Amino acid sequence: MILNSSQSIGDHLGGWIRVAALLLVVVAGCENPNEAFSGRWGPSEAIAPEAASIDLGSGPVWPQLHLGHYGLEVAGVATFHSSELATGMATSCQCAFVEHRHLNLDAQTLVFTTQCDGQTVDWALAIARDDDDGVFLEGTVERTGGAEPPQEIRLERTLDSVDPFSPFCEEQEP
Amino acid sequence: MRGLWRWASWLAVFTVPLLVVMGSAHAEDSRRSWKTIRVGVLPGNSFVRGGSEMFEEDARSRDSREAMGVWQRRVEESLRKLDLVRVVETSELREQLESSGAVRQTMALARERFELGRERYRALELEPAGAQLDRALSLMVGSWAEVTEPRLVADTHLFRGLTMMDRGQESEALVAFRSMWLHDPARRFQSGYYPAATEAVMKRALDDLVAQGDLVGARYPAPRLASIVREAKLDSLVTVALRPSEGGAALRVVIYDADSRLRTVDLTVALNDTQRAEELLDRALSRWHSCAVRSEDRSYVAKPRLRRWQIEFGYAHAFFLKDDRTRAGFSSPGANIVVNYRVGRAVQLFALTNQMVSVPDVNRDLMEPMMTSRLALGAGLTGEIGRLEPYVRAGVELGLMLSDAKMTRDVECKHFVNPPDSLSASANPCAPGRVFTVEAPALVAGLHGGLGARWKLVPSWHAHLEIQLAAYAFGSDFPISDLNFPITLGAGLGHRF
Repeated sequence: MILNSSQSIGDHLGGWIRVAALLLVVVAGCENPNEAFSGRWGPSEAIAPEAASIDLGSGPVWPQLHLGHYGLEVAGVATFHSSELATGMATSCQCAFVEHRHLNLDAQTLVFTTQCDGQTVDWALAIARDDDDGVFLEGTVERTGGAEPPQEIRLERTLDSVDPFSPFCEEQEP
Repeated sequence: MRGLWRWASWLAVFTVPLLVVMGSAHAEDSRRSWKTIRVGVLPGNSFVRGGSEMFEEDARSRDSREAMGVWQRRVEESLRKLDLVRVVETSELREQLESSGAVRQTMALARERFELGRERYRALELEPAGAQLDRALSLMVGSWAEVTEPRLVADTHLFRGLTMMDRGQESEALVAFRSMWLHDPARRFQSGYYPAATEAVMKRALDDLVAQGDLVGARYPAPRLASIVREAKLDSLVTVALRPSEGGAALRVVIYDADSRLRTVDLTVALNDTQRAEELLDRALSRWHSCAVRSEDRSYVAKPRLRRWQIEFGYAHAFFLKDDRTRAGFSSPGANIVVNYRVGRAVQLFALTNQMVSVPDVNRDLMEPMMTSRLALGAGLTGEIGRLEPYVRAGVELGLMLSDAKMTRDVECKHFVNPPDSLSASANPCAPGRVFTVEAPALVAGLHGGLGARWKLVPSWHAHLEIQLAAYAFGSDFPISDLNFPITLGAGLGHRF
């Protein structure tokens, strides 16, 4: 997590510039870079089922990321489903909090981990756009300490905003 | 406390110079209210003369010439008796005009040119003579010669006229001779000295001149009077002249006012009843004096009405100079309304309100928009530089938060907000106490300072630009140690009435 607690007039000036840039992108109809990762990301018809699935040790599962992006930080949960239609939950790990986040706003990359059944999974994702201006999260998923190589993944944004408590990983400690 | 001192120091840096400027302006204003009126006296002439008296002065002309001197002195004495009037006599006026700039040098050059012109004329080199005399005349205009050396001006016109007569330009010569008589109506010529044709034109020129209505205006045109009062730093100029009338000589007194650029006195009285003439003269001067002294800025033009009330409104944008709660800082757009009341020319009382909505920052450390209403009361100082009115003001400020403010740096608390009732507290990723909440209504109070400028668009409307700074010293439920010194930039329009 990137934290910067120092505060100065330069920061205020930077804030103004960011506000101006934000207004500019809003006026221009572009995405707010401080909320670029917000939304529900998951498999869709535009993506081949195998490209959106990962194997965390108990067969293929299809993940959905439910993220809130707040400038320098991201929070949310990952859910795992038994089909590419994201219906029905996976049998072993159904939900995990997004943890240990590292965000690079300039490169639009996001690295985080999830904990499932005692296993830590590293996610390294970047925002990508296709020719039709569709927005995707592309990257790799890798089990920490596992012998398997990193698995490539591509998710599409299916909702612009999420309900933070639906779904929610109630059974796990944050 | 250090912040307060720094704030006060900055306010002092801007306030002290403005106080000095406005203090001196105010002092000048007080002096101006009682300033002595400086009245210059131009050389006067008697025009009670005809062409037939060109060679010999008859009794009427002689009496009028003597009367001219008497009446000029009488006008000067009457002016001297008036309160707050300082008479600048003709000799002193000449001295002042001659001592300004390069007037003496210009006059010396004019004399040289005149002498050259006269020599050329005597050598019968008429064209070069005319050119030298014209050049001499233009140099004389630049050196106030009609006031300081009227006879030399008359001589120049004489030789210009003579040159023109010899060149067969009789009409032009008539104009030149008329100017000669205008500047020196008392001059006499020896009969037969000039050719008969020339003498005839000279006579006709004198008759034409005396028949002219406004001899004072011809001698001292208004633009020329404006230049003289400006150069000699006068408030008024007095011209005394005698002119022929049906019952004998008539006295004409004209007073030109520098501020209004008008003749505020234009009196003509017949002199056949001296006592009556004196009475009328005193009345006219008394009337003039009462107006001139009562007018605070010595102007006969009505002063613009002082519009004491001002209402200003516009856009305002604020942010906190000290903000330890959010990392990127949040800004607060809004509107401001100011009501000013001018106590004097420089002092204003003001009441100001800013209605702000603080917008969550890019990191959403400020989680929700925060509405604030701020009210400031105090006094200010205003200066005027043409259309520009810089001002400073200081007072006290009260701030009231109209909505709850929630701030956090914990991203879990930003995301997992408003949990369902069914969720146990331990399952909530946002631990209690990680969100700093200020519950409305929260009150803050402190010092307020402002600096800005107004630009008059029209007399009743202006545009304004300002910067405000507040330093909160007291706060009920508001974290002034973490969030303080809001700086506000504003721009808008104002109406004065």
